[in-house]
Amino acid sequence: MSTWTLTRRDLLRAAAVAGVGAAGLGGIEVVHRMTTEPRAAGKTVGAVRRVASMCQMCTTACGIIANVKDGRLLTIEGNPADPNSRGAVCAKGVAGPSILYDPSRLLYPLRRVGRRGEGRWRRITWDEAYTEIADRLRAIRESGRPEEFAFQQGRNRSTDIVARFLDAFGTPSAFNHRALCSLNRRAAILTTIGDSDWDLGDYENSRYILNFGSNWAEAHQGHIPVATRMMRARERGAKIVTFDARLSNTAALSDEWYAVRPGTDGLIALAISNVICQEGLWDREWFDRWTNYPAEKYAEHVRAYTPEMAQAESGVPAEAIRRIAREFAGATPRCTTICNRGSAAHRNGFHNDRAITVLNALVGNMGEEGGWCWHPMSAWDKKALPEPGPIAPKPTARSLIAEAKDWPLANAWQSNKMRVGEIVYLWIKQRRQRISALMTYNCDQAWAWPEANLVREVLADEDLVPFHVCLDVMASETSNLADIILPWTTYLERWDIDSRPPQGLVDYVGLRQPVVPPLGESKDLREIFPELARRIGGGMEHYFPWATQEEYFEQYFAPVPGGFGHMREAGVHVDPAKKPNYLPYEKELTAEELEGTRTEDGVIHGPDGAIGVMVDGTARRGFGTPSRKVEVHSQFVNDRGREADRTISPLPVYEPIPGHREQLAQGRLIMISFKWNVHNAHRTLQSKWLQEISHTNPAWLNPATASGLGLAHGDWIEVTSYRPIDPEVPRGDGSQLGSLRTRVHLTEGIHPQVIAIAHNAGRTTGGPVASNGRDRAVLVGHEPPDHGRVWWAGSLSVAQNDILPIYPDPVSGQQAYHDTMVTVRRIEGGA
Amino acid sequence: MNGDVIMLMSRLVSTEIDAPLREALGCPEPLEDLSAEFCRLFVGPRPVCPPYASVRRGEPMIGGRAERRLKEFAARHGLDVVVPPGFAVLALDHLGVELALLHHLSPGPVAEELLDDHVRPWALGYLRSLEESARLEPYASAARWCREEIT
Repeated sequence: MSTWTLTRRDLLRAAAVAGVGAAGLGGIEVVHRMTTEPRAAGKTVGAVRRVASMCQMCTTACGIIANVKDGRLLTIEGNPADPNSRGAVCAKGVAGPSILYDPSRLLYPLRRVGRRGEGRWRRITWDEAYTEIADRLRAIRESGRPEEFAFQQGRNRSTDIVARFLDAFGTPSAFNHRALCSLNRRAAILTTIGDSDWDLGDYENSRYILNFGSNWAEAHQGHIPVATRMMRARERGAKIVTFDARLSNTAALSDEWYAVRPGTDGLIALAISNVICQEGLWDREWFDRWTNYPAEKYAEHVRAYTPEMAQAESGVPAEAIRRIAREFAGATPRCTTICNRGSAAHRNGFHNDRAITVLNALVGNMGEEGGWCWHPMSAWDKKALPEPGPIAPKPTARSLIAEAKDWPLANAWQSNKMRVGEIVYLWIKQRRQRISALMTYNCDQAWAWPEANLVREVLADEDLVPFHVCLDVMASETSNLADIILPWTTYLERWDIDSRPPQGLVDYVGLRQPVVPPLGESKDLREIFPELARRIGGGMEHYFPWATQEEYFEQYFAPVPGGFGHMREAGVHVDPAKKPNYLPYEKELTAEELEGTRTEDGVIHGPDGAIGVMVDGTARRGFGTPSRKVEVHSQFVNDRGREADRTISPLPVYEPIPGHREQLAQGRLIMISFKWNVHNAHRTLQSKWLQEISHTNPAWLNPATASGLGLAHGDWIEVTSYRPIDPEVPRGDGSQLGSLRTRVHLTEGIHPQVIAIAHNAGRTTGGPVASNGRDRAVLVGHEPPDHGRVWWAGSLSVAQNDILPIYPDPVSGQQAYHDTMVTVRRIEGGA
Repeated sequence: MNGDVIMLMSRLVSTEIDAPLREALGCPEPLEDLSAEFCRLFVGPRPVCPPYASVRRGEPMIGGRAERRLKEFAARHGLDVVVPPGFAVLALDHLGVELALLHHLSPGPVAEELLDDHVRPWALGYLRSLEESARLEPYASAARWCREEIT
């Protein structure tokens, strides 16, 4: 800091020289309006405008209506026209305005001053930002190594524009977070039925629902659409049984809850299957007709998985397993399973979800009303609403990291980009693929990734990542490590075509539109990418011929009756001629469809591949698998495994988590993570409204466990994590990884061998609301008069991700979030 | 009330010091350092002193009640505010806007109403915080003089 001090004389001289007071240097101007009479104080000006759009506080993308007055968003409510959410919206959705008007938002392009991570920034113009980024990217593209430009996305609801830009650039280095989310579930369902990677149980019409670790009341990708249908079913007398290591709010809304040891969900499903087979409760006829494996042989396969074995491993009483098996089978076809990260985010998650999926085949409920259903479209009908051309060709360059060939099922299905997200920064550190520029979009990998400290180390290293642009709404641990920050619009200030897997089993399309103009100088990708493409040149610009975003969407929505205008008005469109996707496999193929086909081993092949299967002498559509049947036995995964030198059982099996039994016997615990209903990982921590509801995350421990460790409620503990003992996992040597300090929350609502910590906490940046006052930058000399702004400042808020090991399932690459072994010891004092 | 002090403060919290102003003030600091200080204080990431009444008063959202009240005040008196392009002003409860209004209305009873009902309740404390938090001149001195002017 210099010693120069502005004197009053300096000021007066400046005013005299440059006319500051007369606005000679430019300033805010005040002008008088010509008004006939002063208006009364407090009188409302203008009417409330209702704008239909789509939420993105989480990934469920519910339909919303924004109430806007005088250009300011007042409130958000659900859009009854949305066929998925049907007018319901959760607490996160209601809190949208607090994200839009978050005082800590990023609203201006910034360039770092000094070294990366130092925290000094200056504003730059968009023109400066575009120029620097385009110069960098053009050089990479012209070098002939486009894969050196990497794009790291978090939740991406603008898939069309992102793919368009990356494809036009020619980079295959598009990294997503699927392996941190739902990879195993998707892989299991694709393997088994082929039609879809996402099951959509017809819950509302179901009478019995077996829930394997899905927290649909709080955090599931289908959150509100699923939860509202579940509750409707329960009102009608349906029974919900939940297996979960923790008494989640979903478990609390169920009729029965069983605290299971993590990683044993598949075994429970296999034991239930065994009971169903042994007691003849199955729909054997359906199984033999519609699966590729004889029922008798499957009964033999599951015979080893006895309820007693399942009890010993999972903790669920054998008698309960028998009773549930009978009840489940007795309700068929109006019964279904649901599963998600509780079963899938494990080292053995692929097989867990395979076992659960096949359980449905055993009782013949697949595709039935009230049964286990799905829809072939995970988004809108892309044949009816094709992306406006010209479409860029797919990149021909290769990305070692994106391909992730060590994991045989990671990219086994071309249409599903199942990157192994958790290994990206480890592999960059190991210099397996050179990265010359990284663009981070709506992602805080430096906080949210397993071993987030490793991600921070890599992002801070200008040799490993020479240029880093971060595009986000909020300041984050990741934006702190950028060279340029681009302020992104919130979902309330931008356009998207969007829809989710249709819980009503009829596809639909929605429009996300700006409900207010972008705040500050924020911009969306849909404005940034076309401009960058123009400046990079080299042909990229040809893929962005639209003058405005509205022009693009007018073209996109032209096939919808009423076109773009209808979408702007209603926010959503459903084709009334379409029917729910019940029993799609039964559909008989028409003579026209059969023309020019050939049949081989019962499978009907057209010019573009298999289109159906002969069943009892009738040509039917069947399933989207190679055999056109439910693949209880998958030669495909077995072959993929062999190619990667990995053994993947073609049948659903239970594979205990390596090292768990031994370490549990030594008194170690399994650490799991979870989300609260008002939070969506870290992004919602910016919302004061939501943080007021939930802002702390002590460790859940069972009283029996705590007693053995000499712990009482509120005690401080140190939790130390260990890498897996697993030769098939990178660095799986069982070594100590890291520790965190937290406090104990005693509850019977947790399995005795488990410690659970909510992972939506522990932010260190983003302002005082997000960080429980830990980010003092705002508070320095800025304490509000009533000290009430962040009344929970100082509350316990612990980041779990730093001590979660990078732990990909060797089969698929899914991050095993719920298999971390830890020791717990009492400590004195605080964090 | 010295209008030059008020308008200088209005400008300092609204946009970066540019070359002409730096020269007029006789400020020796490099422009880039002054820009970084502006960001650190007012824009962020994680601004030390966001210059909004709403934020200062602990409202969860920028703008909000404070802006609404100021809009009503401006509407009642037939006033419009024109913010030049590039100024870091997101809502009308920004100190730069309030000071520009004050400068425009002073002296007179409407200026006193603005001071009593909108500016003093938060800006006195805010300017004291800014004076303490600023690492570079002219922000600290300007904050002090502005506070003395409106006290």
